[in-house]
Amino acid sequence: MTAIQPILLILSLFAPLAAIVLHATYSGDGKGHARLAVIFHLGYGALLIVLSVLNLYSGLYMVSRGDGIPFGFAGFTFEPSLYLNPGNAPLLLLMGISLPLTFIWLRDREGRYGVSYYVSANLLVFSLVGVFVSQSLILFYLFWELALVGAYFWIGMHGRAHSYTPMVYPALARFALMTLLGSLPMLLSIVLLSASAGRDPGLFGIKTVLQVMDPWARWLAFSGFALAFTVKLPLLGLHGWLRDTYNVSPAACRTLLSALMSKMGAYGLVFILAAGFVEESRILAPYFQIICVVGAVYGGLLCLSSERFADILIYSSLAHLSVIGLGVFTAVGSEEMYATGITGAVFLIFSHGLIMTALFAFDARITVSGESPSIHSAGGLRAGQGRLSALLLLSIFASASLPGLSNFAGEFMVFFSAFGVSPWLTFFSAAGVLIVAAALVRAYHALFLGERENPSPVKQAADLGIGETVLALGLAVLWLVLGLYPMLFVGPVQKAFLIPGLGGM
Amino acid sequence: MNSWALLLLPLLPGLSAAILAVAGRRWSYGVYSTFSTAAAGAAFLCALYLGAASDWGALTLNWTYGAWLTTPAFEAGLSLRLDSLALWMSMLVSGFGFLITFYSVGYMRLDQEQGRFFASLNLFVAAMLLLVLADNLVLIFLGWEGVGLCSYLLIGHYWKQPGVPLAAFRAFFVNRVGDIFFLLGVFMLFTVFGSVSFSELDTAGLLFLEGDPEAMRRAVWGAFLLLGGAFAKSAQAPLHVWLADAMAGPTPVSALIHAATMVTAGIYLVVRLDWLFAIAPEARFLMAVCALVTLIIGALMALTQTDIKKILAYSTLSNLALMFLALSITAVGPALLHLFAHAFFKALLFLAAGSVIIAAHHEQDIRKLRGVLKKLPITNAAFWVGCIGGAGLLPFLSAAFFSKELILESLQQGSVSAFGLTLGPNFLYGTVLVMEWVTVLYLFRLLGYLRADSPAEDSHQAHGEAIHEPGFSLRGILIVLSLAAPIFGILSATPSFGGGGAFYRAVSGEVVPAGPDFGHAAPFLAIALLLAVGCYLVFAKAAWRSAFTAKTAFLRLGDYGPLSRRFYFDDVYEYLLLGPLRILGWLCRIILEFLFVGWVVLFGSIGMGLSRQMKRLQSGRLHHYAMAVLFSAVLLYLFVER
Repeated sequence: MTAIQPILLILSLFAPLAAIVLHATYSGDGKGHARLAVIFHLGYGALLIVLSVLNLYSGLYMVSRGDGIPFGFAGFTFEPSLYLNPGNAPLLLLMGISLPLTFIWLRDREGRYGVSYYVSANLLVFSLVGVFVSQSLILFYLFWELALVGAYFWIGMHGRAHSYTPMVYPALARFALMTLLGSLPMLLSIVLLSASAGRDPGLFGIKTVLQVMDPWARWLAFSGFALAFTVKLPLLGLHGWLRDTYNVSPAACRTLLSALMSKMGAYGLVFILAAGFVEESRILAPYFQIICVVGAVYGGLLCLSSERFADILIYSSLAHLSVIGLGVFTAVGSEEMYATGITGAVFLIFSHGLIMTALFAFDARITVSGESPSIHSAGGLRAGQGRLSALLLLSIFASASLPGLSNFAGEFMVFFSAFGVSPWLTFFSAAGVLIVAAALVRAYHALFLGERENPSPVKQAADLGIGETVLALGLAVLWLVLGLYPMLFVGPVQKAFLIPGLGGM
Repeated sequence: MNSWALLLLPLLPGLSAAILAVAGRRWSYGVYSTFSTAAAGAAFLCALYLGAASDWGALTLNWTYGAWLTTPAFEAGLSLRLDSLALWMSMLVSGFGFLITFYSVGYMRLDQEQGRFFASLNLFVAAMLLLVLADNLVLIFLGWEGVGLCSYLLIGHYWKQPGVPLAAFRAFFVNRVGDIFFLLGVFMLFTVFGSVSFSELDTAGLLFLEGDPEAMRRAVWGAFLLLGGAFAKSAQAPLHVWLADAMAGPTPVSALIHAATMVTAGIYLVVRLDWLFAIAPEARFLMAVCALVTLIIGALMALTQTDIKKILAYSTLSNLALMFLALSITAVGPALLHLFAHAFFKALLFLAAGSVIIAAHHEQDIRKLRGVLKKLPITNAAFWVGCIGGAGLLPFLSAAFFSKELILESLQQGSVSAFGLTLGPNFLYGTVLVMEWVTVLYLFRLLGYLRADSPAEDSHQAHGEAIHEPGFSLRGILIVLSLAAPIFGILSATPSFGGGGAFYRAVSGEVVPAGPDFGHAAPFLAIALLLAVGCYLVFAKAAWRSAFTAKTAFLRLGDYGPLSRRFYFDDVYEYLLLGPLRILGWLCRIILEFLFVGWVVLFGSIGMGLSRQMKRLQSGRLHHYAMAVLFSAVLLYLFVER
């Protein structure tokens, strides 16, 4: 089975391009495109799941390397190479589960969207896979920027203004500007590293290159990467683009932004900053830890003051992503806690991605228009959406890290890692997560419980269909399995981070 | 075989919950209610089998599957352990789980969401069994949260009714607050001992701390933190505010979860780690102070409530506080005995209250339920047994007589000191004694109302609506518990009363204390009996009741008095915690978010400004471009030459 994996890896990367071609040449109407997207992503998801599960449990470190391409100036050769190991396999697994769910739950039932919608969506998917499997830094950068292009066109052409976020383009401009603010310095960092190494050092060669670099150059390279990743995550202070961008995005795009695109930043923190810039990360770890903890509490407070369900989800994401950051930066601060903190962070990346897929998708399914309801505008919605409300509540519990559900084990490891640095870090970040959970449950109560107004101020959409419910139940079973027996996932992932050079210290 | 039975014990009701959640809707009520009851019953049989296999707790059984979580820095196993404490607790949980599920078959017959109810009830039994059987703190936490989740779901069962969602939310939030402390406590203990397994901690915990003051200090902190979790689950001040509101759930839930089992989880945790609390007098001092506050609040609130379930809920607070108070002076055996006794009489009282509520068409106000027991002979008998048992009035016939006596006896000899302060025996004994008399008052006030000689004008009886004893399953369980409570009283008799204290010995593994003799208990009993008879008569006789309530109304101190405002705890939380948090949230939203978004906008504006300036260079005139090229070439030349 291991021989087939490189082929599957290359297929996984380029399959979304095939989808782009399919949509571009398909002459059917919007509903036909929606069907095509569902069929493609079911198959594509299965491919990613098979590949990642095979890799997780075979423990294979796999590289697929292209021929060297002479690049730019004499002596420098760019070698595009992909990799897969149990460290990044969870991200492919996340995509494999999240993509079909998103395109099924949020399929375009009215046939409103045409070619451009699916081309830009698949461009984003293509670039996301590329980011997660690129070993060469130049390839990583190209995919990183391509993700912005995909998201930009998806939002720009199909985004919608709402009463609570009235304009699409200013929000989009802010998103593009902020992302570029992070990614252009990252390009300089890659150039700096490559110039020092005389070649593209690749993801796992950063540590070696840094040994021959001047301290100022190392710090410069670190800063470029750190800025890019913390903007994309985002960390507190760099999240100015977050709310409006999510709100104007089409529902499926919003779901993927939160479930997958934010994980680009988390991936960078884990695989480049923590594994490559060990010394720099360690020195700055205390400052980042504080930012992360404040971010978790701040996200919680914003959730409390938000009235729109989508806003609560967005800020809850800010808080949970801060916890992921906390896991990374407490791990780099201590060799003893390294594997625990990093594995916790990867566990949370995976789990948070799955949960946000469900939460954002269900949020968009509450109303006919797809507009997120205000917690003051409706009540008693459960009467008309029994399945959706039950599954949404389960997703909220999973997000609240209830033991027995998937987030718990990840948060447990992160909080334990943080406790090793200071119990206060654990206390405040847990308090932030608690406030988020309270805000989510309160919003659920306001929207779904109580007596339903007649007529309801919210034009309620139809409940989830049987097939959609079965998929959601499958996801719930996965949460339960990961919550009750986390070693199933922790075991293989942890191994990847205990091996020096791959992700270990 | 035994280890499989150990695994099956929580697994059977857990699987039943999963099956009911998925397939329950397609079955008829009879099928899934029977299925649910059978699962709880099978768990009880499993517990009985394990009891016999372990020589009723003399032998310890273990079951280990492997690691729940293992990292280079942390380890917790998937391990269950059945010692005497776990055995008797699991028999309590599965036994009451079975009885109350059976009772629910009749109680929930006309409900609209029965499937969800029975699935949640089974899930609760599974989670509670996991909690009592877990061999480490992490696995306990899984059960701990599981019971919290079920509690939340079941409190919110009547989700359309006003106030119910808020009650469920309050239970969820307060318990989550406690969970943070619990989690921190787990981490703290692991950093001290390198393990969270009870098997290892019980044997090596104290040895580990010898001669290491820093480890000792951290262990004490661990005890403090775990106590925070225990307080939230067992509703002790200041984290008690959710329990009275939790009565919004169906009555069988109140009986099983919010009286007999779940709320005792905090007590169970402290008993499990009794060696840790024994070396942490500071934590025990805090325990005693909070328990005293809860004891007083619970008893006084119960005395003034008019909702039948809330009277019992505040009584639960008070009784839990009594157990914590006993634990604070390391009287583990008496506390455990009272835990079991409380389960018997309180479950009986709640189920009897449920019978009244069903008979009176969901009326819960005791002023409107006057005289209702006269038409319900079996429920009437159950109420008498429950009230006598709860008040600890008669030796042997009262479930709680010996447990209360043993606690009082321990308090007379015990004290707890820390932070330069001492809670002496006289103070502790005196306070508890007075509160026990208050307990007699509120229980017999309740009984007096329900057996009053004139039906209320606005009651169902007055309106001519038929009141009759509810169905078979309700009556059957009331009869069983009415017999079981006195039997428990007999089994817990101390040697000085001629008993063997078999149950005490089995549960606590300690030698049965001689306990108080009748001569010692007589003054307490005499006053208690006097109060019981007096209070009953005052509230049962219409003329006396009117006069008494009119003359004592001033004691409530108006709508803003401590009894009306629940001793201001809700106000403190609202105005000093939640309100400021909300304001802080708004400030973050208005000021900080403006800055965080603002700097991006500013950044964009600067970019746009620069772009406009740069645009001026693109004049479209050839000579401008020629000048630019020339200028650039000169700069480049200078740079290269340098």
